[in-house]
Amino acid sequence: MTLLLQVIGVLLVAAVARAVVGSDRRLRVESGAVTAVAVVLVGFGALDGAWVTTRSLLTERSANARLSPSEYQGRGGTIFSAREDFLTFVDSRVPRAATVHLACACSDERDWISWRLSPRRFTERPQDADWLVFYRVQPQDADVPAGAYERLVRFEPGFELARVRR
Amino acid sequence: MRQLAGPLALHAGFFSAGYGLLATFGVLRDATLARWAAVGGLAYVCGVIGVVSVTIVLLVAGVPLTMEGTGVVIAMLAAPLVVVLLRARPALRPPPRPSGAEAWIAVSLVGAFALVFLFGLPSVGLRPLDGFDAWNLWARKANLLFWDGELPSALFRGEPYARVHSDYPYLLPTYEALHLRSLGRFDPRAFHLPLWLLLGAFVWAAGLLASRVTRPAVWAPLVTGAAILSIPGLLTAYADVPLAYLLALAALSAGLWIERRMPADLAVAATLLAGCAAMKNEGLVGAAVIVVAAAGALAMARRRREVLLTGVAGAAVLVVAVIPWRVWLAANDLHGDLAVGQSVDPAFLASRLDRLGPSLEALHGQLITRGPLASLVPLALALAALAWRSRRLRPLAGFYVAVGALYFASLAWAYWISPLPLQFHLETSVARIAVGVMFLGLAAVLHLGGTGFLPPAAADGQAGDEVTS
Repeated sequence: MTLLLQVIGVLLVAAVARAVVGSDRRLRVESGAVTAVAVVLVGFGALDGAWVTTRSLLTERSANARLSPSEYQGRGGTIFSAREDFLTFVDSRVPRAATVHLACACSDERDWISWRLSPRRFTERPQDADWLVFYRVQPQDADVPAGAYERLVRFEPGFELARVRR
Repeated sequence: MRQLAGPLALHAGFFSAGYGLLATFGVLRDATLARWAAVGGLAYVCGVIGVVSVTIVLLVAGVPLTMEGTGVVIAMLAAPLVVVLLRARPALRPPPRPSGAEAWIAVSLVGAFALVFLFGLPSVGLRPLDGFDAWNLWARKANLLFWDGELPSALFRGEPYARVHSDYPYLLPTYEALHLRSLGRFDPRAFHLPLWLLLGAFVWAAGLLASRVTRPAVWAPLVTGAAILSIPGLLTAYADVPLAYLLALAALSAGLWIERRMPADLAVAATLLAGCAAMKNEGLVGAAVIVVAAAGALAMARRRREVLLTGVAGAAVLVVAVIPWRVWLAANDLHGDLAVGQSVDPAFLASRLDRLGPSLEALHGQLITRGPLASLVPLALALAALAWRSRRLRPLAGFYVAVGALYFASLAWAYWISPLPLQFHLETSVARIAVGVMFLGLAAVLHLGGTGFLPPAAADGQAGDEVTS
C-alpha cells in the first residue's frame, strides 16, 4: 500500500512538472521530472555514502593490517565465541589432506569449525576419520568408543585431539 | 611478485576472454580505441561469466581446476579478438573530450567513484571474512576448489555439510577459487578483492549500456550512486549484491534488445543471464523471468522472429549455465531445501498460506524503508506508468514491470514453500535479497527515464516520439 502511495506521489510530481513547464511534449517532461527526482535521491544518498564508505575503508585498512593470522582467520567465529586458540592448535597439527571427526556439544559452531579447519574433510562417523577433535566435550562423554583412538593430545580439558586407531 | 603478477594475469585474462566474446557478438565491429576502452567493464563481466561457466562445465565433466586449463579456456574465448584485431586495428582517434557542464559533471562523478574504488582496493584485500553465509556457503566451496580442484560431491552428502546448500550454483566460488589460485596461496582475506573488481566492472558496464539510452547527467549519478550505496552489502561477501549487479545489467541489455532489436544486445543479455543463473538459485529464477518478460514484450510488439530468437537465447542459457549443473547435482544425489516439485501443489501451498502475508509484507517493507536505493522501485513503477501511454514504449514498460513484479513474487514464493522457519528467513535474508529488486528498478529508471533525457545522439531522431493516446 505504501509503495502504491509512493508511486502515486511520484506521478503527482510528474503532473505538477508538466503543468509548470506547460510543454506539449508530455512524456518527456513527465518522465524527465521523475528521473530528476531519482537523480537527486540516489545522488545525494550516495554523496553521504561515499564519504562514510571511504572513511571506513581507510580506517579498516589500518586496523586490519595489524591483525595477526589467528585474529583474521578466527574473526567469523567470534559470534560463537569459538576457541580460536584451540582451532589454531589443531590447524597446526592435523595435515590438510586428513579427514576429521568432530565430537562437539554444539550446533551452529560445527559449521564454523569445519570451515576454519578447511580443507580437511569432516566425516559423520569417527571410524571414517583420520583424526578426532573433541571440542567443548570430555572424550569420555563423547559418542566415541575409547578404543577408537590413540594417545590423546590435551589442549585443555574438553579441548582435545586424537588420531584414530587403524 | 607472484601475488601481484598472478592476479594481474588472471584478471587480464578475464578482460581478454570478454573482449573475445564481445567481438564474436559483433559489439566491436569497426570500433575505435575509445570504444574498446568504453566496453572494458562489460568485457570483464562477460569474460568472468564465460570463463567460469566453461570451467564449471569442465568440472562437472570431471576435468580438474588448474591454472593451465583456465589459460586454455581464456585463450579459446579470446581467440575471436585476435581475428578482429588482424582484420582491422581499432582506429586511433582521440577520445571525445567532455564538453559542457553536463559532461564535466559526469566525468567528475565517475572520477570520484574511481577514487573510492582505488582507495578501497588495498583495504578490501585485508578484510577478514566474517559473514556466516560468506564463509559457510561461498568461501567454503572456493576453499575446497582451491585445494582439491574438483567439485565436492560425496563430501557434501555427509551430515557435517548439511547446511552448506550444496545445490547452490558455483559461479562465485569458482571465480574466488581462480583468484586464490592466481595468488598462489590460500588467504581468507582474499575473498573481497574479486567482488570489489565486480563493483568497478558493474559501474563501467552499466555506464556503457545506460549511455545508449540516457544522458550522462542521468546515468553517471544513478549508476555510481547505486554502486556506492551497495558497497556495505557487497563487503559482506555474500552473493546477493553481485547477483543484483548481473540482474540489472541483464535487464538493461534485454531492454535494449526489445527496443532496438540488435542481435548483439541479445547475445550480451544471454551471457549476463547465464551469469545470473550460475550465481544463485534466485538468479536462475531472475534469468527465467527476464527471458519470459522479454519474449512477452516482443510478442506484444508483434515481433515473432525476435520472440523466437529470445527463446533460443534462453535455451542457450539453459544449456550452458543450468543443465550441466543440475545434471551433476542429480547424478550426485545432492539437492536443496526447497521442494520445487511440491511448490506448485495447491494443497501444499494452501497448508502454508500463513507464510505468504508476512513474506510479502517483509519484502514490501524493504522497498519502502531502505532509503535512496529502494526509492528506485516506486520511481521505476511511475516511469513505467508514464511510458505505458506511448505505443512505442509500452512493450518496454511492460517488460520492466513484469520483470520486477515476477522477481518480487518469486522471492515471496521461495519463502512460502521453504521448509525453514519463516522468522529465520525474515531475520537473515530479506534485507539482502530485496537488493535485486532495487537494482532491477535501477535498470528500469535508467532505460525508461531516458525518454525524458535522451542521449544527445538519439534526441534528434526520437524527438517526435510522444504520447500517442
